Amino acid sequence: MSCHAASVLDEPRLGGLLGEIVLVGHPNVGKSVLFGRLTGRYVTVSNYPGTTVDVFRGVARSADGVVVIDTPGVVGFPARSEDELAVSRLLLDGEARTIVQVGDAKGVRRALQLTVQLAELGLPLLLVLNMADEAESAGVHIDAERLAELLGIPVLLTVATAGTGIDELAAAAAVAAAPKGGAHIAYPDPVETALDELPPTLRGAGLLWLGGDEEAQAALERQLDPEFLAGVRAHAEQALGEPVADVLQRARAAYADDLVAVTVSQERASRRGVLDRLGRLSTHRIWGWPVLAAVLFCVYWFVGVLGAGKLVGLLENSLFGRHINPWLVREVTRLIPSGFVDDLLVGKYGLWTMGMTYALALILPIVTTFFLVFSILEDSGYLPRLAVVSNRLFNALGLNGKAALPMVLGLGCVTMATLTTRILETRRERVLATLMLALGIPCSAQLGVVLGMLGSISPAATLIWGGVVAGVVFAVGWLAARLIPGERSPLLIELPPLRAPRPVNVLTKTLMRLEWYLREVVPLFLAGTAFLFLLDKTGALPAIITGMKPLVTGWLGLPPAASTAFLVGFLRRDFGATGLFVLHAQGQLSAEQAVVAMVTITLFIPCVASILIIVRERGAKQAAAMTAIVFPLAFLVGGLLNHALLFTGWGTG
Amino acid sequence: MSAAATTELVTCALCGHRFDPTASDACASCPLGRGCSLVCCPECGYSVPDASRSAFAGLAARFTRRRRSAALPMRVLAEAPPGCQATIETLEHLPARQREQLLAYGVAPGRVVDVLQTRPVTIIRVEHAELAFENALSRLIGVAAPTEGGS
Repeated sequence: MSCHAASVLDEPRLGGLLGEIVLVGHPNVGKSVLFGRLTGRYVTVSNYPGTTVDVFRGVARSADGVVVIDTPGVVGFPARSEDELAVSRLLLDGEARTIVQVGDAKGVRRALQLTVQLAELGLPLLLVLNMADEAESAGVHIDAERLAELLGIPVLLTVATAGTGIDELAAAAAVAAAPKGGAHIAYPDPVETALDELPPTLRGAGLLWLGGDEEAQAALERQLDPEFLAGVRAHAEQALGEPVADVLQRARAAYADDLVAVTVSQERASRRGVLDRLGRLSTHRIWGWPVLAAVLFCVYWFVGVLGAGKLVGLLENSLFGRHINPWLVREVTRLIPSGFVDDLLVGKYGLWTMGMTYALALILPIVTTFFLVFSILEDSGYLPRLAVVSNRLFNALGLNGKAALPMVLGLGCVTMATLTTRILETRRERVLATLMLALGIPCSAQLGVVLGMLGSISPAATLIWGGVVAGVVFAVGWLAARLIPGERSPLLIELPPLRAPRPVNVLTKTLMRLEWYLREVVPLFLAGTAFLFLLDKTGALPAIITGMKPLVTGWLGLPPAASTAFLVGFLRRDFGATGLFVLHAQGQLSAEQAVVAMVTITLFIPCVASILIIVRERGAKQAAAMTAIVFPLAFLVGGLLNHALLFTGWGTG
Repeated sequence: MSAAATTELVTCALCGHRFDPTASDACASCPLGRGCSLVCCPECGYSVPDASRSAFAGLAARFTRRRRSAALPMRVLAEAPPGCQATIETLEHLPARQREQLLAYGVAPGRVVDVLQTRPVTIIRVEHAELAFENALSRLIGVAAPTEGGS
């Protein structure tokens, strides 16, 4: 997920090569696994719709110069969400040379409705029915040869996760040709008359436009007079007496039904397995909550107790505290007599003793355990089920349960989760979800630090922290939902089957995310440490600490040393949180102060990278507005909590 | 509601499957079956109180029974009991966006769907795909009288 974000931003454009194969299909049908098989390049694969939110490119292993493009899943055309619009744009821009439609072999009828739309674009097309093994287990038998004959395009059955059918796919893609008439439907006369008004080469785009696709409309309006187009549509709708989109949809559905009737047979399905029953339990109106509590407890135990407690203790106290750091300090001081360089490397704000020790001894074990457990959850298919359980909660925030996905993904990395808000239907919902992510969703590193630090104080400390942060996020979301104009869209989501996670995929994703962590976070930790070191050496740090005293010491009630943590917290809040963790470990923070400090820093904007992504996704104005709201609010809430806790006397002893 | 007209169907509290409590072979051959007021779900094996055999279960059922009887002919998907199959009659009252989405999933007039759950949201299965949507939408989906079976 996080690596995904990095690669999206750094992706070089590979256009201009010999040709492009575009993988298109419904969400969660295995496009990204196929992409990996065809190119040898790994992109994040998970068991929920919306994992891929951007277009990815890679060079085919079997044919030099052929670019394979992985796209976000589309429910259908007309495109509505931002990721669907990106696919529509890609198909209409003429970049695609061959379309490989990936469909779920268990849902041939549904796949065929999209096949017809893609065939109408007139590009070479292949239909890949993936997860053929699951279809077989579910009693679905497909006569692929007959289907290929009727459609006039190659039809292949694959099991991408096992690599079955990939060689055949690569070979077929290399010689694919435009559909030979089979997949073209003769629509009712008013539709055909409207299409006849357009140049023949624009028939495919014209059908998308008649169906209401905004990208197709924009593409046509670049070539034809908008008034002429409006007249053609009005005439067709008048003749039909109903929206053209409905007529097109009905004709495609009937066509798909006819094909399925002669090419697909369904045996009686086998009895439901354990995973199926567990899937039902996880969305049950009563049992769904205990299942959620059990999942949360497992995450807490694995990350908070094992990762933040035992592994951090082992690395920080034993390995770094007793062996590596004393040895390094001794050797550096012996080899480099310069006090300045010594301090820069192994001093109080030393690159090793602070930057690398924070990154490797404190955060690395936490993010490792979190990434591992998170990858398991992603692959299991449990995450979309949270949308069902939490729908009512998000209703109050002007969102629907689908927003649970970016929120939960935000626990891994808020930056990537901000990209995932694209799966939400409306601009308003994306703004609301982005605001909540920026405000109060702690990322994996910070969550681990919080759990480790507050868990060592008392369960009440964790509850106060969680309650205050959740309360603030809820209150701000509730208010924003009433201030931002627009209506909430109702929940409609596909639930993938619960599956046993594949160890190889879980480990690959975990390692990939750890690589991202080491490449992106460690340099920032070092930069932050160097910044503090320079401030300290120039004498600016004491001045800043004195300047921040009324805020940090007066309002928040924290020791002056906490100012440095907040200072680097502007760069990355988990870096700041780690500084507070160390202060607490050194006995400089009482229980009350620890809770206040953690609440304040949790409400910071996560990191510089997340601000850049908010600028990219929502624009500079909204990013500036969110930043202007979040930081003052964090200090306001922290101060209020400090005074409330002092009033009650909690944790001050 | 074909079968439900003659026998009160039982809904499994664990998996939501609706079944005929008199059709269980296991109960008839069980030595303790005579005085037992529990029936086992044929899908998951969970023991469910049969309101027709137990005074307490009957009393509880009176308080918890949903207002609309499952035996009445259903008109909208939200009223279809979990475990039944419903034939979609119309989607015309749905907002365009959601209608398009459901049609793309193959939920179209004439299609038979399995109703898996109705609370907190409606979950249906169509062609091995499970879709969850709010009851605000399922109340706008017209269906013919549901039949037992499906899941």
